[in-house]
Amino acid sequence: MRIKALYIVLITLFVSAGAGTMKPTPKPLKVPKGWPAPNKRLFAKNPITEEGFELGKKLFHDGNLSQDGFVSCASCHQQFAGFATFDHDVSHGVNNSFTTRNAATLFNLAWMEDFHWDGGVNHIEIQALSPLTAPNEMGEEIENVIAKLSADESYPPLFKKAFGTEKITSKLMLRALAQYTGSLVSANSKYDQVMRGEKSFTKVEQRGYELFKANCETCHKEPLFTDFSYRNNGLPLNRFKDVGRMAITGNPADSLKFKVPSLRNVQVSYPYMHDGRIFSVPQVIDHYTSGIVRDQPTLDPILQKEMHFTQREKYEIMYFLNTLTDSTFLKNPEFGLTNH
Amino acid sequence: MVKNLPFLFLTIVLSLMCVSLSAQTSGKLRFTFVNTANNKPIVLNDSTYTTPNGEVYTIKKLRYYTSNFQIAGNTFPNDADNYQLIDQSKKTSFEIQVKAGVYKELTFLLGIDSTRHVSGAQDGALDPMNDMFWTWSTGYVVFKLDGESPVSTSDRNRIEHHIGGYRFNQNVSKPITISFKENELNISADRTTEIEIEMNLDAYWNNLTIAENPVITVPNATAQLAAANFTAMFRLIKINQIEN
Repeated sequence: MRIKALYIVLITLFVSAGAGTMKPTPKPLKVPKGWPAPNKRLFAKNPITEEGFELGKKLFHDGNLSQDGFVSCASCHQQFAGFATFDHDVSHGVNNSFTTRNAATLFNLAWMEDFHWDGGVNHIEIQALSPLTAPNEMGEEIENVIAKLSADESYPPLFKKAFGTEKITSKLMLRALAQYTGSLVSANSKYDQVMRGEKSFTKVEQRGYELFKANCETCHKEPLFTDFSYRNNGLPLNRFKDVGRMAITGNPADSLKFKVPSLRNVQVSYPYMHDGRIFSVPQVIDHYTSGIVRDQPTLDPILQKEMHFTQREKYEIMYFLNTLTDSTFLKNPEFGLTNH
Repeated sequence: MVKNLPFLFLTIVLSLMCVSLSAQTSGKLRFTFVNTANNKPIVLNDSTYTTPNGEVYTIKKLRYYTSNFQIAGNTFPNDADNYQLIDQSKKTSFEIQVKAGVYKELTFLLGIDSTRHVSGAQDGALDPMNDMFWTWSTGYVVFKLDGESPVSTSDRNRIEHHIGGYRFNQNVSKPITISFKENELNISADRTTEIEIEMNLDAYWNNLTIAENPVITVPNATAQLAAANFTAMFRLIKINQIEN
């Protein structure tokens, strides 16, 4: 009896001690049926929680992270455009600067091994350092970002909730951002619903799907619609002399290779290519049939063989690609600040 | 929870005992890096130095990472101690607790291991706020030398050597070994043992001239040339025993 009473006292102590350091609520990634497992390395030390996700979402939409107070992550990564910059070949940075690459779409990042068009960044947690500090993006010093967040009274309690400490560090800020961006999963397009047996393709979409599987599938591999490889798809060197992957590996064999982008939400994420040089889906298809610059030593072997489509087939492919638009993702209030 | 309580108490009691036991048998070990050029301790900004190739220069920033310390095959017990940023303007010395005893050899990495390079956001010495991190292509600058030289053809006669790289045959981190004579490194609880290590910048300029390479800021072949000199730059000066 006495021992039991002791236990009750001890348990009460534990519970009350715990109240001050409430554990955040886990918010594990939901892996869509039939998908490969996400990249375990990315969240092994940074389990996603409700509180971390919410903090990351607030940071993502906060212009105060930039040098001039206006440019947030969301400025260039707009939800309705699949988190790319809608209708912009390159994006705007602080002080009326321009980036030199097309803002990438942000979804299904938890399946990626490397980040950026050239794969220069090896972990989702440190990705944000690049746009935060680049003079033609957010242009800010990490030290200043941390100082501004620490001085903003709304942040320390949120860091406490998410990570158990009010002391804001670059590591925790980056982890919160990673929890938010890593949670952006797009898996409910018409294509997905068809795969789950909930809907069926129209005849035109079905023919487009067959053509897609015969011609595009190697690089834009289902279900993520990318194989995450780096390839030269036959675009000539641009005005920024951007050699892509070679700038990271130093290997001339990687010249003009860029990461294969996912085609999910492709309908809303125009313009296309690493520098946004092509503005519409039909023009992209035209590039593959008649626009490839062939005298490049690193041109992808798959593209050595010419592709031919009739006008009708081009439309069929386009109709199939439109089934990759995931409107529930693009409008999901959980990912935006609309519910705040 | 209820079931585990006695076990929890036992664990706490045992760990307290362990702490007190180890406190009796460990001693303070201090690492002091003495950065020199032309056989003099380096003074930033004002002093002028000459490379063995006869090029005159001044130094504005001098920082490097040391990591993965092993003393007689044992790593430092506290992982955070294992990554140290030596910065001529801020910190050239650090102290840790190690088991008392006589040690024959110390090894460390001038640089950062690849594991830490691929593990996401880091803090402490590895915090990107320390301005030793590339954001465009993941990687730490493991050795940074900024200065000026009249022979530099770069803007404002700059020297900017940011030596980094860990992948695609770009690795610049080098293991350093320091051996001790018989009974030279004797750590005990009643004193602080200080290892004074020289980082001799003169040795950095082997096969490397300011005129040809005033700026190195990518992990290229020139960075490899620079990194090839790291090992020869470090040597033991002496061991000091400081009574507590």
